[in-house]
Amino acid sequence: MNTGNKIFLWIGFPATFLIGILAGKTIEYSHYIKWDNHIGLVSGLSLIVTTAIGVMIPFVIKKLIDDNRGIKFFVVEEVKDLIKIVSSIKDIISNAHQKSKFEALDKDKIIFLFHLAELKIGSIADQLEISFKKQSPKIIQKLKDALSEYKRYLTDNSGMMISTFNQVDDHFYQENSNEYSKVETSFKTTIHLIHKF
Amino acid sequence: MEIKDKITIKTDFSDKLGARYRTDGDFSGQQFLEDLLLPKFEKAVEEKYLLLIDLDGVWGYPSSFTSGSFGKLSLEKGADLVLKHLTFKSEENAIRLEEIVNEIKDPKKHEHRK
Repeated sequence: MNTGNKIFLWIGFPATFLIGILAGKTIEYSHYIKWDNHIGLVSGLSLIVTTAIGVMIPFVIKKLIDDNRGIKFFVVEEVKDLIKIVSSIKDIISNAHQKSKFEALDKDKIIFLFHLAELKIGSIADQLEISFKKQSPKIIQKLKDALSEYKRYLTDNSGMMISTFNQVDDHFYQENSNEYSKVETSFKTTIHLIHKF
Repeated sequence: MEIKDKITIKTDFSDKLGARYRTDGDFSGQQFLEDLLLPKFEKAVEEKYLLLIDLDGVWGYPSSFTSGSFGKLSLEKGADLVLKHLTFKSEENAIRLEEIVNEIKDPKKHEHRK
């Protein structure tokens, strides 16, 4: 339970109790509503407590749901940023395909974008660890595996790192598009998993 | 074991790392392994100390470089011995460090062409 919820419970419950007493006193001095002396003290207190719980529960639950939704939304935005970083890699390759020219600078940019993507996953891991500790390892491993697979394809198996690689041909373009599609799908399914927390 | 030697990849080798083999171009994994990592590693094993590898300050680690250097070393010397004598530092990127350690633990997952 976060600090906001704790403060809410520590202040909210006593406040409701006091409001109950005030309401009781108001009723006591009211000419329209009379206390039935046949009702015992326990029954009276039981009524007050039940009413208080009935009023408080919707507020507490609503606040918890709103808090969780806010955190989930924030983490989902982070995963969307991760998709943007990785889609920049695809853009570099698409541009190189259009220009029929792949430069050393393009290679450097791609390597650096993978580094940025890794940093983003690290940041998502730190954030998930605070609010969704139990679900965090599965989600982070899924993100890491998807990125690692794409990185291995592009910076090892594809041959892009070789110094003589200076052109993106149709075959490379298609193959990279397929590999990119896999990582993008994996990231998007992660967003669905986060919404299911 | 005490750390008695260090390789800072950015300054001792390059901040832009290449592919797997020397024939692939400059600053390859093979070049790093043969010219820098292997001699220092063998000395560390012989004299029983830890060799620190500073991974920071580099644009990024291509998988071919990681596999052609740390993976190849692990295949040649064994993962246990490599992890016993190498220690890593990466304040910039924890995933990068994890990836290299995983490559040492499981180097056979990649194809080594040579």
